[in-house]
Amino acid sequence: MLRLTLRNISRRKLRFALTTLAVVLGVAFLSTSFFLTDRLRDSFDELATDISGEIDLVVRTSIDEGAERINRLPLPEEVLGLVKDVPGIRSVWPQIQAWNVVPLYTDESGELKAIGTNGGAPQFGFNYGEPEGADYGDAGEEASQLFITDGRAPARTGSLSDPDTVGEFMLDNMTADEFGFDIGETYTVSAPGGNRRFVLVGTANFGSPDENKNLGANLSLFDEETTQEIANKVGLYDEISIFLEEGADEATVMADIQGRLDQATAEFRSIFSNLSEEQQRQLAAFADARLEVVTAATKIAEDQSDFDQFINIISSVLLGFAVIAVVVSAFIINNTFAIVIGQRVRELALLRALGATGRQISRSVRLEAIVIGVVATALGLLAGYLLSTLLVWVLVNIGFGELPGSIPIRTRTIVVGVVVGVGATLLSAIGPSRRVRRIPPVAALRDGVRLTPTGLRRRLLVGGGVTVVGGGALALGMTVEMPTRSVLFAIGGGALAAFIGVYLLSPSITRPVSTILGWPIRKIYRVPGRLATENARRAPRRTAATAAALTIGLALVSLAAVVSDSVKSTFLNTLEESVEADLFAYSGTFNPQAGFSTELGYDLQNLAAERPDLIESAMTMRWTLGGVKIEGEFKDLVAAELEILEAHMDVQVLEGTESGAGRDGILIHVDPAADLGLEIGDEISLEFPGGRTRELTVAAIFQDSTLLGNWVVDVSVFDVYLPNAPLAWISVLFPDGADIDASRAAVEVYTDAYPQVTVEDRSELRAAQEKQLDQLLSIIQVFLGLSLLIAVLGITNTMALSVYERTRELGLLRAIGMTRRQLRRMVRWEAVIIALFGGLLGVAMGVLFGLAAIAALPETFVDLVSIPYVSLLNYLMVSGIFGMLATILPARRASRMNVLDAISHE
Amino acid sequence: MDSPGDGTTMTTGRAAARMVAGTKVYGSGDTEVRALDGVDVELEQGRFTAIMGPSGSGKSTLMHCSAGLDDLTSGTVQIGDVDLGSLSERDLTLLRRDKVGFVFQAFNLIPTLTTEENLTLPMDLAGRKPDSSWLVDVVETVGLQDRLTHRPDELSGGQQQRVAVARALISQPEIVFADEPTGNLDSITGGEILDFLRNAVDSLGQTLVMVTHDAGAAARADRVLFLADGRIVDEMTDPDPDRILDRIKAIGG
Repeated sequence: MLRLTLRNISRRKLRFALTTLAVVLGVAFLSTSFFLTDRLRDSFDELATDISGEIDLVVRTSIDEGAERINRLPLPEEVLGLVKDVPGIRSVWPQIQAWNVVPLYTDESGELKAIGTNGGAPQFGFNYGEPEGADYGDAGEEASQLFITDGRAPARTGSLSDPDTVGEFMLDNMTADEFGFDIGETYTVSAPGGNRRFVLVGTANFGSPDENKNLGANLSLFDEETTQEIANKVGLYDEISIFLEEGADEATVMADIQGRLDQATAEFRSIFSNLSEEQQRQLAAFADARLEVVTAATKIAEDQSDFDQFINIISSVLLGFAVIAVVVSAFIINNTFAIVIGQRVRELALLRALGATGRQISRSVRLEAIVIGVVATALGLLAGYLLSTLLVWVLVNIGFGELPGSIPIRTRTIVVGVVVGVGATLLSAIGPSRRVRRIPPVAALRDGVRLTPTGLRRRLLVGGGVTVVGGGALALGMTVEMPTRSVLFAIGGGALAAFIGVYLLSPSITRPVSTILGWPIRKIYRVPGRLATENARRAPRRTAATAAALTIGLALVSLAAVVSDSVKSTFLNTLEESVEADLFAYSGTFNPQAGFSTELGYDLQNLAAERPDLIESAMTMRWTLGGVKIEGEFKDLVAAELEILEAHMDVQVLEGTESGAGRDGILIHVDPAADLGLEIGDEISLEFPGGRTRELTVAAIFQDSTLLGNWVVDVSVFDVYLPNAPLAWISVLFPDGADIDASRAAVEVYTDAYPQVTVEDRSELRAAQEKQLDQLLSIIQVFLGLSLLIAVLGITNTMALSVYERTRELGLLRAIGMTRRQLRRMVRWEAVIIALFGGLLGVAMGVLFGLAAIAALPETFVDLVSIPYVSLLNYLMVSGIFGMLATILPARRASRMNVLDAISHE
Repeated sequence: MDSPGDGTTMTTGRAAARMVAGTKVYGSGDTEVRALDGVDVELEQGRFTAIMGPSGSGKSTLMHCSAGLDDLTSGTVQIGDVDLGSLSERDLTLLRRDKVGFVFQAFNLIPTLTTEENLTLPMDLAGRKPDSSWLVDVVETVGLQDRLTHRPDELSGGQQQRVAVARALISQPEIVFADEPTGNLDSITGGEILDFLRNAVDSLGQTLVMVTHDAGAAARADRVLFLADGRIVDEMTDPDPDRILDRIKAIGG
């Protein structure tokens, strides 16, 4: 039987090549998602290790388990003195990290530019080298993981509080090369502490003396004191790295250090309680802070898990698309098997007549599937590896920096690839392989014996049932109040069930729908159009199964379009209705800590004070992800200036007023307020990263969470408790009747010094956000397009098989006078009808799923429904065009066939 | 009668189709097969010609080449005044559509089309309207009035062949080629089909060429051509079955 199976495959090479290709693509996308994320994870794991270098221990402030570690408070520099002399310590190294340290340069046209504002990677400032008189030990480069390749280390030249001071800095080699920074030249560096001038004195590699392993981040290095100044961390370190002496006992040293830290903390608390109220207020965040010493391994693991969060997002997205690709492939394989076996009935019946049992025949079909599955999986893994290599190359070239090392081939990738590739193929062949058992031997002698799959009645019943269940779950998810997870489950599961149900039902509507879709084609192309329609109608299951692959892709594309269009119109509507401010300044980079110097905020506020005729007010805003604990849960918190918020934007306050409790107020969205039973004037306590809690008074309950989220406090709260959260947005309000151009020009005098800051008025902001959402959508559509590609392959496959099956008929048509052109037209338009059928179902389901998704998504994203009719129509047209493209080869083959051979074809 | 060339000299009517020195060679070298070997033949207008010969004698090739389904290795074929050798693939197709009718042994009809649609298919392909009274005449002649909306799988084998014959006649082609049109039918149904074909020649003046190996069928023709080894070895006018069988024996079929 095996020999026969292999013969079969080798004899029908093209047919199996097409089937194999579908599996190959599915497995390729799947393995790519593994290869690529393994690759990224390895790189970031290495980065996490590199960051920590050869250190043994880390001293830092503690932060709650589950809190975003980015909010960890710095520690006072005095702690260094406490631990430096602990026996067993060879060397100490304070680390200061500043986000948003952006060196500026002048391009050829003389325009001031900021580095790297188009990429996603952050811009960091770090300390490098030992201050004069300090005695850190001999850790040196080993501690910072920076290796100077040109020039020298930056030195302290003077305090930056004098704006005329010109400091010194060093850059990583990638940044220096990419943007053309030259040693010896003076540049402005824009940092949280403001814009200052620095001479570039050297360049360095990160992670290794020979290779710059910064993964795209831009690194600026300064001496210690200067780093503290630019980071707004004067007198503070983020952490202290510790190197042990050879043979020192780690546990003993840690216990010793922790003892000293605890003692110091206790001392600090007693000092704190004796401070003046004003001083206490300023140091409030530190009041309950604890210090801890952890091993380097702990820190590396934390960093890796932080990076993992980011990689997991990429990984889930890629995996999601890969699963779609595999499902689409499975449809195609199943369909191909069904058709091929239908065409081989006589041959299989002959085997039965010669004594093969039904079981043997059935097994031979499965064996064929396994052979195809194995070959396709092997090719798919290879293709996935090549595709990942290409994608890594793309990542490197869009500014991810060097990715040292190679793509890891994990057993898991191979196993999952084989299981999915062979499994999907085998699973797809099970139905057809069961059907062949019922072939009677006598079919060998008779013409036109058809395999009847599951009865249509049963199929309709099952399909109807599944559709109803799916629709019910969807409706439930859309209307009934449930926890988010249950909603997502109801909607996701409902959508899947609805899809399967519709797929099962679709053969029953293939005929009428094809007739309708074929109407214009019949009008225009007459006989070929008529025949195309009839051909699309003649095998409803085949048409439905072929269309299903396209339906999946188009449903997803339409879903994405509906959701993104609704998100867009929600956002634009908010911008239109709720935003009163005239001008906005925000950082052009995308990372959780994106922001810019507080100096720009002060500049604009001073401007408002000096020129009330030009600027009415400037409001600064900050935000933190999971930075604060409210009622035991970490929440995202936004800071604005409560006293002027009302003038800048309208969050639709239902009760109270924004400024009702002054700077001690908190504004809460109506939903969480209702959940927690909060009313105006109630006190609510917020726990900040250092462990300190602060009582705030509910000043207002509001309705619209699109702009500021659910929880809004005053900026002054952030100043004290969340010093790591940068200034992220400034909104500027012009006075009534102001000369807009003059007002804007006045603002730009200041913002021009910060080229990394985007300044936009309302219509520009609108356009920019629109563009961003559109870009996101197009990226999603490109990924989904890959599944459409597989679907196109499916159409090609079906049409090739149909053409083969109808060879005699085509020969007859040619003999009695159908021209090649008419024949191609007939094949082409049949495929177009099939594709439009799939497209129509897909778009309809996509819109339905989109509406469900909108109901499930938080209002913050989307609370308006907008259906992009033009795009949806375009998708339909595109699916029709895909149908045409899919038939280029089968149609050509059909039209080139020899008429005589065709007529006498068996 | 000894020379195949005699066929030409005997002809009195105008030729609907003509082959001169038709040679068709398949393969080359040792595997070379001369399916037609210098055939000269005229197929007269308004007459019923049968082509007979043993398997491999080239009778099907003669038909295919005369009908523009296949091309000659050398020699010329004309249908009406048109030299097929000079036609492009497309023009050949159009010629088949407009000037030639076909009846094959089996699988004559497009399964997705109704009887009526199958009947008018060549004209529809050409974008021409069938002459409706003529359509009614033909349909009545072959007795398909109540079968017009049926699909081929709802028709018996004999009915299907009748539809095929009717289709070949409806566009009033220059010449109709029938390739073993009764080969798949029982003798009674086959006889009916031959009646229709005969009738088409007699009452409609249709030119008809039929390839067959059935002496009874061939006997319904006005003229029988005998092929062997790619040559016309004999011919007979006003044939009857016994004489045909004798002649076949003489040829060695």
